[in-house]
Parts: sequence; structure tokens; C-alpha cells
Amino acid sequence: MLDQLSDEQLMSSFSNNNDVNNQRAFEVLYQRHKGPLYRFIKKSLNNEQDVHEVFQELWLRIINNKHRFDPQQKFTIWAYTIARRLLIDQFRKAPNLMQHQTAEDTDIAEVPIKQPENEFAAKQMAQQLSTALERLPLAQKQAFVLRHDSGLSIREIAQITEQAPEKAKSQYRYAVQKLKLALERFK
Amino acid sequence: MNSDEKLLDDLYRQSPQDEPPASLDQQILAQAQASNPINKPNRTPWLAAASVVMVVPLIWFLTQNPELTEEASAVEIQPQATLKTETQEEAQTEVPVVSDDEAGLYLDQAPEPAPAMSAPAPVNSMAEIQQVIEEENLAITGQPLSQESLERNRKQLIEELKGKKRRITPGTMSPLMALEYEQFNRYLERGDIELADQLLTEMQANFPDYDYEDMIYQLAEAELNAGGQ
Repeated sequence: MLDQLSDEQLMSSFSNNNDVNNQRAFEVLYQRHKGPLYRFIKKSLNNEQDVHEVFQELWLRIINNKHRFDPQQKFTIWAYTIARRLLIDQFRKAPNLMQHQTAEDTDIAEVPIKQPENEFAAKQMAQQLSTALERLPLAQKQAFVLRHDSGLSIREIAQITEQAPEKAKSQYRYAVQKLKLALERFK
Repeated sequence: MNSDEKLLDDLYRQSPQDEPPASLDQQILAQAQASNPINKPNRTPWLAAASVVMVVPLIWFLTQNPELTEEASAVEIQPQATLKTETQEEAQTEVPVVSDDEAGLYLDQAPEPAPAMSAPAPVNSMAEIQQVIEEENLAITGQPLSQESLERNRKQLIEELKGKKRRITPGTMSPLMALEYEQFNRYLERGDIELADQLLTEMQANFPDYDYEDMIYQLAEAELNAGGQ
């Protein structure tokens, strides 16, 4: 039953001290979003201990501010915004924690991707994609992860990263093109 | 998503999907559990009703039988006189010391006489009964008896809470909070009161251990100046 509730409904239940299902509601919410949020943080930091620290701090903020959550806003936007701010905080404390960034390309040719021929090829391409993703600049990597792991729209990504939708779209487009290029070179 | 994005999506999902360790899951779930206060049923209305049910018949009974209150006060005086005589007699005799094996008590001094108990004043009218009932109800329901007391308690609570908050200074703020603090001041300088208000609310949510009184005052002052222009 609780599995069918939206994120916002689960947060409302969790923040209601008189709701007997409030703890269960949080468990459902946590199970639903822990993976994407963890991967978002992990792809931004290169130290596992810091990843755990930021991840725990993120959920602590969510728990401690549950009464301030506005059910009219999307839970994912709220949670990822907190996550991003915690990452910025972490970067300012120790800039070497940031994932290594490569120089941004200004012009990339459109390259089509060929479908993998078999399952083995698909696995190889998936591994290659993962490696190429690690090498993307942080902003592009975050845009890609937010789109494909967290299922957010470009507009929502723009809200989370606090920039214009056009810029968020541009970062995502560059990410896609670079990944396509990496896969094409792999073949 | 176009076909390329769809393919990237499929490939991404086939790549290793990291998950947080189970130990971290347990810690976070425990923190969520700790944030939920134990649900206690609200028994206050039942207690209030029970007190009325008990007190009203008792008072009515006493008003119907005033001789009981008169007899009680007379009876109480006599036993006290007897007790006083007995204690005087005890003080004159030596009290043997009782060893550990027997009782573990040492009686080397006469016990002091019990303080005199005053008889309860008889209730004479229904108005007095009503007053007693109201006072009893207020005490049990926990409602404050006077606004002055409430205000005093509130001020004391505020002072105690403030004592636990950290002051906002460059040395106490985290880098992120310092950025937001700078942004807040910029909003005020530009006259963006609403944005400053929103940012302040966010800061209070994200950094709850700080004392925001100064910032609230600055915002209020800016609002006043903006309204006067």
C-alpha cells in the first residue's frame, strides 16, 4: 500500500507524528531513492569515506527538516538540491575531493551509436560507458546521472543545479555526445 | 528521449549500480526512528473528567454532612495530646541500642512529635464549590492559571533555547553557510526582501543550530525601510 504512495505523500506521512506508519513510510522512501542519491554523490567525489559522510548528512538533513518539507514541491528536487549543496560545501573544504575534470569541448560532431550486436557486446559497451562517464566534467556528469539514474527532466535538473534550463540542457547534450563518441571509438 | 539517449539509458542501467552499504542503511533508519517521538495517547480529557467525577460528589457529601467536619477536627486534637504525653514519657526512659543482628536500627533519641494537622475548612456555598472545581480542572489539564505566568515561562524558555544556539560569526559558519549569508546581505542591499526572506528560511532549516535573531532584525529593518520609501 505504502509502495503506491508518491514521494510527497510518504514525506507527509513521515512528518506526521501521529501516523502509525510514519517510520514505514520513511523506509519506503529511503529504499526508493537511496541508490540514485548515493550514485549521484559517489560520481561527484573520489573518496568513499566522504561519499558515506555526505550521504549520511543528506539523509540526516531530510529527517531533521521533515516538518519543513512542503508537499507542494517535488521531493526529488528538494533532496537533490540539498545533496548538491552538501557537495559544494565538501568541495570548498577540500578541493582535491572533486572528481577529476577534463577540459570541456566546445564543438563535438554528432556521432550515431550502433546497437550492440549481442549480449556480450552490450556488457562491454556498458563498461565502456561507465568508464567514459567517470571522465566527464562534473557538471556534465551530474546532468547525465540526474537524467538517467534519477529520471529527472532538464527543467528539474536546472532547478537543482540552480542554473538556466538552457545551460542545463547544453551540459546534458555535451555529456551525451561525448559518451556516444567514447562508445564509437571503442568499436 | 531519442533513440541514442534510450540506448545510453539501457547501457547505463547495465553498468554496475553502486548502492550504500547495509551499515549505512541501518544508521539512517535508526536516525529516522529516533526522530519520531513515542506516540502517547492524550489522557488529559479523561483525567479532567475523572477528577470532576470524584471531587464533586465528595464536596457535595461534605456539605450535606457538616457535622463530619466538626467531629473530625475535635478527634484530631485529642490524639495529638496523647501522643505528646507518650513521647515525653519515652524521653525519660533510656532506649536500648538495638544491634545489627536484631534490627539494624539505633534509637538514641526520642522521636519528635508529629506536626499538628489543621482540619479542612468547611465549604459553605455552591459558589465556593464551583471555584474549587474550576481550579482543580485547570491544574489537571495543565492550562496556565495566569497569562503573566505563561509569559514568564515563555521568556525563560526562549532564553534557555538561545543559550544553546551558536552565534553567526565568520569563525562559526561553514563555507556554504558563509556564501548564503553573503547572498542574504546582497539581497538586502538590493532591496530584494522576499528573496532575502526565503533564503533566511532555508538557512534556518539547513543550519538550525545558529541564532538568527540578528538576521531577522536586519530583515525586519529592511522591510520597514522599503515600506517607507
